[in-house]
Amino acid sequence: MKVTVIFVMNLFVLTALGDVTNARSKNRGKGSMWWGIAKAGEPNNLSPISPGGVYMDLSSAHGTLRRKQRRLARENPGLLVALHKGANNAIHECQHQFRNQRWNCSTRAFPRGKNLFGKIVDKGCRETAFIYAITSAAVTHAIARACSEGSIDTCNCETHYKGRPHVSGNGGGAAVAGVRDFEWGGCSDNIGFGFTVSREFVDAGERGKTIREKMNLHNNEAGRWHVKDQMRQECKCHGMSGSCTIKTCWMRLPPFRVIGDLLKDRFDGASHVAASGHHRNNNNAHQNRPPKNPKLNAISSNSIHSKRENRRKHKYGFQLKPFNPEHKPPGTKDLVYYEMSPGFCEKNPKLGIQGTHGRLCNDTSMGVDGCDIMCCGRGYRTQEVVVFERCNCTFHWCCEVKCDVCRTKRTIHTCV
Amino acid sequence: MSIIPEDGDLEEYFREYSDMYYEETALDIWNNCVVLSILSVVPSVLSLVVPNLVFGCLVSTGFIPLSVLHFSTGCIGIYLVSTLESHFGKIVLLFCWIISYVLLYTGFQLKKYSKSSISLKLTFIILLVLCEYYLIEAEVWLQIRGIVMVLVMKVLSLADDINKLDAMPGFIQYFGYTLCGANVMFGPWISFSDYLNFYKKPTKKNLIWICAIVKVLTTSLFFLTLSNCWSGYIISDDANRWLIAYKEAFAFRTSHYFISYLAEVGMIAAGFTNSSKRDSLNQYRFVITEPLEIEFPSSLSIVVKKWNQPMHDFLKKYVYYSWLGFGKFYAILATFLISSLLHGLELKVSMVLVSIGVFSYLQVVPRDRIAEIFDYCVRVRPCKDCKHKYKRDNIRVRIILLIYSLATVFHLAYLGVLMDPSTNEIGIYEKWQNLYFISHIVMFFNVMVIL
Repeated sequence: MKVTVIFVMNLFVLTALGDVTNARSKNRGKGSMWWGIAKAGEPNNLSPISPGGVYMDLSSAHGTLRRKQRRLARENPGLLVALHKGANNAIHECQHQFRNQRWNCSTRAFPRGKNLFGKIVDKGCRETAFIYAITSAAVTHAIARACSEGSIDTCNCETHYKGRPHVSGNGGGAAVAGVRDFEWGGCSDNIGFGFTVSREFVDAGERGKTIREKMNLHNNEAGRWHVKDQMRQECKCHGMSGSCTIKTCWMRLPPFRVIGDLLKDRFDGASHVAASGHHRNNNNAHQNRPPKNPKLNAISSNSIHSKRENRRKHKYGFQLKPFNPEHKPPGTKDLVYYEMSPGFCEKNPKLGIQGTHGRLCNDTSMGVDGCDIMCCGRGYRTQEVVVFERCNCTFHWCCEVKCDVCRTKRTIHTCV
Repeated sequence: MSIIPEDGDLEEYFREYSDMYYEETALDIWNNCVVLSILSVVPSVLSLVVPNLVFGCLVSTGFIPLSVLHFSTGCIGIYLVSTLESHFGKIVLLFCWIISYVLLYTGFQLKKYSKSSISLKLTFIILLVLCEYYLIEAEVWLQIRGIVMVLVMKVLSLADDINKLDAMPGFIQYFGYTLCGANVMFGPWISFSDYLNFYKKPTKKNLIWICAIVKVLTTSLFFLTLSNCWSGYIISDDANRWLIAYKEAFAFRTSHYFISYLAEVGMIAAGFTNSSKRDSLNQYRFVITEPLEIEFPSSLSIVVKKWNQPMHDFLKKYVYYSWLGFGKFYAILATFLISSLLHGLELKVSMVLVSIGVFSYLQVVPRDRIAEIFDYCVRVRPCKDCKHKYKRDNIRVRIILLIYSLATVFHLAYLGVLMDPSTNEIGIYEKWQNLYFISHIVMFFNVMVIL
């Protein structure tokens, strides 16, 4: 009950703050206000009366959205639910990837839009780069999934088949034995839809003028390209004794964990780019083409005019220069940053860093999760606590895993 | 592991916790794999079924001249082949078809001089091997190999039949038989006499016939989705090596069932049948493979037999029996050799075939020996009126049979892994090494039983 009350209050603040923040002169990350969606409409806030369920509650998040984002949400029913799910996936995945690091991707309990991840996003450092990449990747992933589940009407499979006459035909002429021209179509193009909607929605507030905006755009793109590249076509031959008379193809959207792992690798090898000066646009070097996708028109046909199309090309057509001129310029899937990360050891209210006080650590590990590194040499406390664990898991046909909850005593180490 | 601040929201905690692990769900598989897989075979299925359906109806009308029917089924075959992607492959097929007729014809004319059609057979076998290794790039060859195999089987059997009957079929009959629209793409092989008999008594065309086609087609697509999608969903990639081996082999087997049932669809649509049953739905069957007997096998020789019944019949009638004069062992050896040659001596397939030959032989002999010594009824082919002391319902007999069944399942997985596309990168030896050569060890024990 308490939670609900605070949540409602929070919404007021959210709505009010939406415009205030936009008006701020130093509007870094103003395009990230939508992160607030993650915490809007928490399950425990669902009103049992409202038939619209999550959607009804999410509509309250409208306040945090920009006009363009609101329009997208209006034109694509079901999009907000997918975004909500995507944003939460991003948080979970971020926290999973950084569970053993000094910075653990903690989120604020009652965030206001972009402040979901704390003020760390005000700095143009690696961590910020990761946050932007993982959120835009998660949104792309969630939208693609929602499409295949049919919960976003504007991208359902049927509408696309109409555009492919040679499949609906009765096997004449072009209807080749499935080999000649297997085209992407139907549900497989969901990833293209996710990609474009993510661009439209997530990048709504980034114009690509300042170095910070370019960094955000680049990292958002990197996240999306990881998802797109992981969406794989798998093909298999069928025929007598291993020959290939018929070829069949299908798609696989990998678990989001795979993308999280890849992005974490990119985080570890992120490119430091030069912060100073505005570089000349260099369209050739950057390969940020939008995915080939005829049916995105479902969303963009009437909303994006050719003028905008030009502007968009312009928007992604930049090349960031490496900080060290001898290094290679960052590629499309690299994460970029231009400021050094602050120390995460001590509490720093100015940057919203909580410090590693009280964090769990591993006394035997020599890595970043080891107590020596995690506690920044301050030492650690050892205590015995009761933990809850899932145990005695059994598989029930079909398809459920039921577990007991066990209380076990365990020795833990926490940083002082 | 995690520490929970309050006991109250335990359920909430676990819900959130499990949400983190997003796995591919059955719905994902359905949308991304099942639907797409089926859609990608729709063109092939339609171009196989529709013309053959029309042809089947034409045959049943009974007043169309035979030569027109021969011609039209040949044209369907040409249409089906023309839907192939590679133009070069089509040219090769045309070439094979023309020289097959020329060779048959000259062979028939020269029959006074040489009694057997051995030179014709040799030519084709050599052609197949050359195609596999030298003449055609692998990708094109893979597309047409199945078609060429069926064609070669037809021609080889025809050569023997011509020798026996001392009569050359007319060109139009030959055209219809070799390019028959119902089986040119996916098989099965049928003999020339079966082909001619078909025109004498085609199946009745009614609603039940349509139902039979739909039923077999559904079965076929079901096996397609098993092969493409569900096998990988049920057994994930991080399962243990035995399960993964089973999965790879299972995916190959179900792929074979898919093709076999698809071939059956074409045959039923055209009006062929090989069913002895007379009840309404089952008379419309052209049984090629029997998945249940292969998935739950009693012995490897049953698997070999049921894997592709028409091909088995071909090998038995035209290879095994003609070599039987040299002795049983040589006949079996020749059968497996010819079978490998038909596959163009492709390394993987030949490995599997030779292994199956040896393994199934090494199952037959010890079981005969056990049956003899302990008087158990455990022979591979159940004896008709069993004179053994212990019948099949005896518990010890059952245990032995079960052990052999399980061993066969193992062998199938062990041999089937080779047919997975990954073998091309990993290598045969490494794949088997990964499974500790288990089947070879099992076979060693069987050899011990013999000795």
